[in-house]
Amino acid sequence: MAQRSIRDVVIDVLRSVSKDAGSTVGEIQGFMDLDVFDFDSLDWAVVVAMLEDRLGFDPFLDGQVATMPRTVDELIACYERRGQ
Amino acid sequence: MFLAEHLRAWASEQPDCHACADENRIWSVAALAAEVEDFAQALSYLGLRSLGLWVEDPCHVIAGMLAAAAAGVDCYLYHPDLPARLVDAVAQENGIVGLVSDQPDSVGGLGHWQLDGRGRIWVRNGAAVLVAEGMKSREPRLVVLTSGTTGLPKPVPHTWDRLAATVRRRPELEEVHWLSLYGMTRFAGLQVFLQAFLTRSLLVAPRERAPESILALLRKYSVTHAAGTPSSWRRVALSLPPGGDPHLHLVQLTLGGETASQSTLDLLRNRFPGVRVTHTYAATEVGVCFSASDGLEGYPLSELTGNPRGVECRIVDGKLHIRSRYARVDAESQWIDTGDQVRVDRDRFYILGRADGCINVGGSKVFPSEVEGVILGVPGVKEVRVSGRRSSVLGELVMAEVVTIEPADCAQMRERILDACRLRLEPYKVPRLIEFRASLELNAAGKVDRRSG
Repeated sequence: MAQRSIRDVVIDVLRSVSKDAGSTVGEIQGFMDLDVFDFDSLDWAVVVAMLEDRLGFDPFLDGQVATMPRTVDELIACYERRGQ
Repeated sequence: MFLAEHLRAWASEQPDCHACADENRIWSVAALAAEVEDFAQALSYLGLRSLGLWVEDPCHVIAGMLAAAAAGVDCYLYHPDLPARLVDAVAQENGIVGLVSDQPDSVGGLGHWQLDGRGRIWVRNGAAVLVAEGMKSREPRLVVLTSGTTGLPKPVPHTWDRLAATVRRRPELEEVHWLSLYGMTRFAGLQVFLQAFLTRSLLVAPRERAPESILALLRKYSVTHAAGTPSSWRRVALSLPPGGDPHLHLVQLTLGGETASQSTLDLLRNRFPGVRVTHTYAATEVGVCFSASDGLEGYPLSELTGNPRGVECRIVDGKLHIRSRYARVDAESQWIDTGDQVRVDRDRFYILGRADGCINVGGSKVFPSEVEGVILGVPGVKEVRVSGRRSSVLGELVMAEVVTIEPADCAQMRERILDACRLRLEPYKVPRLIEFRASLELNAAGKVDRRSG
């Protein structure tokens, strides 16, 4: 498999889950507030599970994430920190 | 012992009648009786009090059980897929001194029985000698072992007369042809065996589970009565064209061991037209508790109260409790909590599955069978397994593994499954994680395996 950046994978998953959730978010940008997705906790659980499947880990599992991410960039950072 | 007497009477009156068959062989009653007598003689000679049968060959399981009954020996039925180390552990735990096996390390083939007690004893086919009378006074037990999902399989002792009490003896059930897809060593498999044996009917017990091979046996032996789990018969049905096969002689198909979904019942009616399809609920302790043959999932509430099988049922805190006069020896006249959760809707009730098997999504309970039932109704879906997947956000999430009938566009199929689920299920029950698989394993009991997820 071609190496894809963690950023691409996160955005891909957000896009896919927002489609399932019927969210109307257009192009996903790093600065965007996560609230714009209007996800409920179930949607977020799916995002985290899908990212675990693709990236092989879940940074939320053992309290590695001190503060909850508020933007797309912050969410990506949670994964990049661990992925390095 | 009434089983031995029944066999002797049957063999003397109809020696050429077919008793049991698999892909490789068919035994007449005379052949079965000879096998049983040889083996029972060996058991009597050895003076064993208990015996473990670790035998894969269905006909030899039958012969072994009957021989143990005739010789007055307690018989422990090992599931053939039990790992060797557990076979020995179960033997030690339960004080089993003799083990009969056709597993690869035993050299014995047909007609040879390896008795591996605390030394190796070989018993060869000899001249048929009747079992010594003195051995028959004791009431031998048949001990079924639980699947042992966690830890060592546990013994569930039965007596033959209580097991046989549930056999239906209507004239139309005499001399029919049965085929069972339950493992011979499972409780359900034993019940089908006794039903066939005591009504002088042929029992076909396939070793293979490929649909084509089962269909070939249905035709070859003109099978009229068939039994097995909904999952295993769904597989067979899907290999038939709509409208079914005119060369089948099937009149009755009895399902058990798993919840039968509406879509599976519809499929079976379509592929086995004219066949009466009955789905049953059974518990290891008492056998079949209730059934329905109306083609609708769930059971009429009247089955709870006006039950003709001598089984009392009641729902306590949403869970099914049962009591039976045919209960296993150590559970007589006690109410037993089946552990199965029940939903009542108007005049029917539905078995949701084991309370400890449900998925906990952020505190909301999801029963896999309910979600599976919806997904099985999506056109193109062959098999499905719904399970819980650990989630750091909600505890667990619902995930589905799906096998399609033909290679399909996964994205499109996923949409169809999600649409169907959203329409019929609460949001937290909808499996947002869907994986497509080439196949799903059915376990040795013929059920979609919940452990290998």
